[in-house]
Amino acid sequence: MANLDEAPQSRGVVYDLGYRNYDGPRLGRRYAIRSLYVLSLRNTFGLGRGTLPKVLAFGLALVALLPAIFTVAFGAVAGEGFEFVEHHDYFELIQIVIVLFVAAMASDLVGNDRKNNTLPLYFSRPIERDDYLLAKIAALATALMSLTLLPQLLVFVGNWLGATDGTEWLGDNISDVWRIGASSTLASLQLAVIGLAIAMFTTRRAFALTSVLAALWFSVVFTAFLVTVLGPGWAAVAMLATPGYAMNAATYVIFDAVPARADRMGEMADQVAYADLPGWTWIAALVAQTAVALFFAIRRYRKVTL
Amino acid sequence: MAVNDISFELEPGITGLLGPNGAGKSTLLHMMAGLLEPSAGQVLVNGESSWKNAAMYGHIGLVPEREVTYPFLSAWEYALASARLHQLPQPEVAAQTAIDMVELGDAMHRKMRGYSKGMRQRAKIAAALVHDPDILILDEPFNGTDPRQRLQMNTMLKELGDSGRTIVFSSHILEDVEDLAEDVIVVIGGRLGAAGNFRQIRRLMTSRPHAFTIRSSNNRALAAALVDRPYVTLVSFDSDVMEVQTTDFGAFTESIAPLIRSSGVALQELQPADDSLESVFAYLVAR
Amino acid sequence: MNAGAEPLVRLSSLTKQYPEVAALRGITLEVPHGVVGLVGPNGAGKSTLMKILLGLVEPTSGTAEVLGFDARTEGLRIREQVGYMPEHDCLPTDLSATQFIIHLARMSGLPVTVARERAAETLRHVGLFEERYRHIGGYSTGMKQRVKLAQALVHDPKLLFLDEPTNGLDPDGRDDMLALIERTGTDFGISVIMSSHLLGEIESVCDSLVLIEEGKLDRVGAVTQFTGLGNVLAVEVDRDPELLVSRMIAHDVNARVDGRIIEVEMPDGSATDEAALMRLVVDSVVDLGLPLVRVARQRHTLRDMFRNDDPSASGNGEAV
Repeated sequence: MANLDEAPQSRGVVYDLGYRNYDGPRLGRRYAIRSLYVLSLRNTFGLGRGTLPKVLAFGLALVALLPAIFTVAFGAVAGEGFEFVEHHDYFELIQIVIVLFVAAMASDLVGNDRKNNTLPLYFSRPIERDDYLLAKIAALATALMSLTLLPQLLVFVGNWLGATDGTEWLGDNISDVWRIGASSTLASLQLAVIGLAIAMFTTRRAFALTSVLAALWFSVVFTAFLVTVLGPGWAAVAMLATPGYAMNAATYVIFDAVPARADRMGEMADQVAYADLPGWTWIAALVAQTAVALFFAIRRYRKVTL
Repeated sequence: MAVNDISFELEPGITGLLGPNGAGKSTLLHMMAGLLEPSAGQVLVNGESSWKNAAMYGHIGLVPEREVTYPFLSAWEYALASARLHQLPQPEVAAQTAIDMVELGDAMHRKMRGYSKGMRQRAKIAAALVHDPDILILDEPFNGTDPRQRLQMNTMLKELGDSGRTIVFSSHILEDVEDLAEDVIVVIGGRLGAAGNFRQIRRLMTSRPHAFTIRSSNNRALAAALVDRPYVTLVSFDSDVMEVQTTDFGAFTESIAPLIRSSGVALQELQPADDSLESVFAYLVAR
Repeated sequence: MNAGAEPLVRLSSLTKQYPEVAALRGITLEVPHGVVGLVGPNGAGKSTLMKILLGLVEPTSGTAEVLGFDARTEGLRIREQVGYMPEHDCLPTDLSATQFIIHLARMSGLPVTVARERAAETLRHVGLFEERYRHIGGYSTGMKQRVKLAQALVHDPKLLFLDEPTNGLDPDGRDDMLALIERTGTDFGISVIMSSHLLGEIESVCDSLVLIEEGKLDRVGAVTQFTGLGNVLAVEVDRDPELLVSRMIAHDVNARVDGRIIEVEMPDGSATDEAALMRLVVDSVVDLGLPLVRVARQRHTLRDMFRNDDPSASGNGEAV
């Protein structure tokens, strides 16, 4: 006979959905910076945003890759010795693409937060004031690597594949690897810092865009004009102060590809050669420009509180 | 449609124009000031239409919400300019009177860029008062003001109201209105929700029982007597406070004192629980 | 509620001098745990104080401690434990509330899974449900304020700084926000320092208040200290108030009409005297056959602080 005491009872439980405190780990500055870095990098490529930013970013990156792709293709067909584009003038070739990328991305990266006045929400968090900037610079520089490092690597690999004797070719050209790394890193950092520093001073997107273009593109045009008027000897100062010149000259220097000094003034490389400055000055110029831009950017952000 | 079929009359004294954000208060005030043309209907000031009536502007002073002060002017210069624009026969006298009325005499020659928000508000009011208008219209005058500025503005508006002017001001902060005006116009979604003395308005809301809170030496004994009455709909207890709801304000108030006396209970406190502007407004918005 | 031995905030001769203005002048103060109202005129004082307390601005002299940490040297530790809700608009438009709150939670150091969980929970606690998946750009003011509050709460701070939290809200929204703030103080056990211009809010929600004027501490104390019972009995009858006034005067009680209210002066003496006065009032009302609407002892309001300005009331940081 069933014993009522042993019959299954129906059960019910009520859980407390109230506020829960958190006693777990809090991961600190580095984690925060990394989070902001990743988010900013994703935003640069339009991930988590709409279609247009994606198209723009990937489109520009693709265009930057095209010369590399052609090199690989032609190399496969024509074999060793054919170089559609060389490492040392790759950046010069795709200059406008790189500049457009920086201009478009820099203004978004810092402009949005300023326009929306979101900065107090960051600064009231456990990070230091410079951390925000650090993350943004790192993000833009990383994104730029897809237009600097990636194509260069592709050219290298393409040439290697096209070489008749791969191992021998590699032996001869292995030093190019660090040159690729160095030139890409320097260029990406320089452009990221300068681009962000400029974009930081205005919230209006059009303004930021034109300002960055002016600083990175029109400055080159202007300096080239100065060179024709004053001659590269006198215009050397202008060349040293112009980001585009410093970047490309530094790249020539790294690849040991500054041409011999001659009377031709048409190409940037020739102008640089004529100025006859020691190689390290161009690299120093690049670093100095970056430092100056960084200084102003940091100073600007330190003034912002809430 | 910003304002939809609103009709009311304003008397001298202070009237508060209330309503949620975007309810159409600003539009209404600008129509009253003759600066916006009504799509239908009319705004009559002293019997005359106010739209495009230049002579009418002499009777009306509008203090708009947005910042219109010129940082490079001083309050004196601003008031004087306003007086001149009104083509007053003695602009300096008028400007000085207005400045004194808003108590900006000490700071009147300083540039307004150095003014606090409250001072800028007063400067705006001075400029709107130079021509001694019968009617003063203020759009959100308390926005962003701190308690002291608010108090000063309150006192000043009360004095202006007492002097026979018709003052109407808008606010979405009931605290500000309650202190200053018993007569209100409530605008909700562009339509008129209610107009008049808000306590009278409360009495008119017969669908909502009136609530009273009572503290006494023996709430339960008093409750027993109250529950007997047909107009008492609810009695509830919350520690030492008893709440009573009644459908008949008049009957309750007429009988509560005798009830207290006859029940032998000592009264400690009797208060209406929901006749504040806050409650009235909440009920109006909820409808 | 946190009732640790440390006060929430401790200031000692805190001074901040800017080139043109002295924003804070020698403030010494201990702020108790709970919900604290920060009142004072617009101007450099309150916001400067908040910036210093968050470790974002260095004081010129003096010290500031928050939750036991020195604001000058341990700003980072403070910001770990504190949430800040700005007065102004500060939200992006093209993210959903969930995405944004998760991101900020991670910026506060929460690991990603925790960040996701707490973001969802916090948004629920502040009253955002399906809306939290939509872009913030489409939110109403009330919803945006809730998101702002959520980002300040998501990392479970011990202290919230709220800067004019009901700014721009309708009476409805204001009530909701104040209720939320009250819950935060009582149910969630989080202390709150909220600045507001609306004294009614401070009266209803705050346990204590701090009044800063011209960079100096003017008053500090429990709200109840300033909203104590006065010695006026407010009586309201629905008609013929003068009759009641005459009756009171005839019994040697001071009374006058002020608008709707009859102000009856209460005796200085004991509770028995008080009870006698009440009986007199009730009896008079009955005898005169008047409808009785209100009999209540008037309380002081915070507004009175600004009316009777007593310059000698500069506080010396009395803890409550």
